[in-house]
Amino acid sequence: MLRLVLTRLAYAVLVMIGVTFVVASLIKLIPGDPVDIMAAGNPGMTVEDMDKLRHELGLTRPILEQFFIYAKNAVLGDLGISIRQRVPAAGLIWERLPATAELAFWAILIALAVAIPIGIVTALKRDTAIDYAGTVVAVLGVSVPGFLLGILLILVFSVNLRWLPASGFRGSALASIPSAIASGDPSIFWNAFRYFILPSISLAFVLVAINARLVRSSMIEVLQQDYITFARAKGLPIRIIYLRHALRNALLPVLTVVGLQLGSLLSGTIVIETVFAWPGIGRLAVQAVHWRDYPLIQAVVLISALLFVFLNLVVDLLYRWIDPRAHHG
Amino acid sequence: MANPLLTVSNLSVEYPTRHGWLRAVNDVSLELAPGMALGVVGESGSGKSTLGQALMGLTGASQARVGGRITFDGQDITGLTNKAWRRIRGDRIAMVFQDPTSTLNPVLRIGDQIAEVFQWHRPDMPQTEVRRRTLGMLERVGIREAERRLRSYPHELSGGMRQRVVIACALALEPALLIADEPTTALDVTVQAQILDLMRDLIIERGTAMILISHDLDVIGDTCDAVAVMYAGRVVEFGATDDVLAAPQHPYTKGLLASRPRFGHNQAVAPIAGTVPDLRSIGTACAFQPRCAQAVDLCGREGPPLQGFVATDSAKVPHRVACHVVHQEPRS
Repeated sequence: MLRLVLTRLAYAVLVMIGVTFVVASLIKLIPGDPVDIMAAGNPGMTVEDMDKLRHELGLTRPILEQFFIYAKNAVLGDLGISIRQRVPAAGLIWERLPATAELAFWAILIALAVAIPIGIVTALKRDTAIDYAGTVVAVLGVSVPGFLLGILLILVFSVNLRWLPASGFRGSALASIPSAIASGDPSIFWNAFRYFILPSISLAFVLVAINARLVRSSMIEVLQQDYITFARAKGLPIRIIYLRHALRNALLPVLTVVGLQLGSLLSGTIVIETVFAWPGIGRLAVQAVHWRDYPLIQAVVLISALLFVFLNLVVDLLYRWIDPRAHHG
Repeated sequence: MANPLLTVSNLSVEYPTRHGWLRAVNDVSLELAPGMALGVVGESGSGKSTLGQALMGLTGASQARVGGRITFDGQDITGLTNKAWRRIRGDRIAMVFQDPTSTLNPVLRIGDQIAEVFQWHRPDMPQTEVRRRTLGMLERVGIREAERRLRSYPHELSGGMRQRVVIACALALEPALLIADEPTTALDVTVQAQILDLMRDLIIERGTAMILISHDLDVIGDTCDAVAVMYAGRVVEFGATDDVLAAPQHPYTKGLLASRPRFGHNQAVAPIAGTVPDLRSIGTACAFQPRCAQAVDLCGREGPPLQGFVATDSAKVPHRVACHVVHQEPRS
């Protein structure tokens, strides 16, 4: 177990180095540097000023040298200063991360809460009208783009029905649960949570489609296994056979995929965060690119990659916990 | 038979296929006394496994059509609902399968897999008693360090140990009938004999009746009181194991015995010519007729009924055979 964690952490370092290097190189390929952008917004700047600024920002040094300086600082927790906002990039990200992380949490929760029952039912009612309806929903789910669904949801639930807010973020819903319980006032939770509903549904829709199909095919395969026949031969109730004997095995392949999905949600969902004006990593990334804010772009990508690697490690550990055979694998 | 535990009358099981219904089990009638061990022998596709499933009511999932009657312990169990079947399965009739590796659930501890039989059939049993009995069962089937093994997962055990666990699950509630479908086929030869001995000991000490399904006449000869030979879905010969093995009557049984490799005999193995026929193309003829050297005209026209013949009618288990040739021979 410890060995696995250490090996994976070593891999993580390699991944981080690779990611930093690729991002640093790519950014240099984009025409225009941050000084050009600043100059465009500041007509009084002379060419000498610009050169001086480039020198100060380290932009005149060789790419490789810039990279090594950056890597050294990154290890020490310094991901550079945002050129645009003049504050540490790492701080900007930590500010935005909770909003993105909690949105990802609700999206995955909704996706699983809907996908697992649909997957089970369509597997048990294979080749019936219910199963075909499930297929239609799945095709819709993967074909409707998230931004379109987001806008439709805003139109229906915010503009027409006026039930839910169209955009914005009013703090963590999860963090409000203790005070909601303590005060016995569910509206404390609701006031924060209602801002999560539309964006998390927009994110969850495609995941529901994918995961429901995955649960279905996995469940169908598991139900044909001998241990299911043996469970029936033991005279166990049907729900025990489905939930205890079949579902646990059927969810193993789903877990891997959900880990990857959570990883990509955590690195920020650019489109949905933009549609819902969500103050998360995704919008920060868009802004950083827009302002050629190199340190910030690098920091966003680096932290996203770090989260991704970390989540994969968590999934691997979870997998070992759920599937006893993996200990020896 | 005075008070048979199991009576199977004219059982047939048909599966839907693209070319119509396939009759995997055809007009099978059997009787089994309490505590008796019956072997069912036949090649793959002879219907022996389907027969076992039908006796457990486990053919339902595949939309099979089941005809005839099965009476168990005085109760007609042919058309039972799932709920009623559930009470019988695992409790009164239990089953052991061929491959213990795939029979046990890979993600559940073996202790829990045995204990759940108690939990769902004896809901009033206290947890401590469930645990005591589970442990006792594990010890009884010969698992050492049973206390520790309760928490093991199936992949941590050897094939033979896994089959012992499967047997423990099956016999936990002391069923009246155990159906064992090729219980040793997937095991190492050295382990096969141990598992067979264990099963024989357990059913004798509990008075459990057994139907042992196997393709191996030696296994059945060692374990069973009576044997039913199946061919193409029908029972073609039935009798006390000693009678059938010593004096096989049906040409197919003779062929089966001749095709066994015999240790210490320098004779070549004599395979039965031809292959098992397509079950859909048999029609009314004797299914073995195309492969039978002794076949007469009648064999191609109508299938022979399973009848006793005079020589052994006085025996405890009547020796019956389904063959025109045998019945036409002058009886002495």
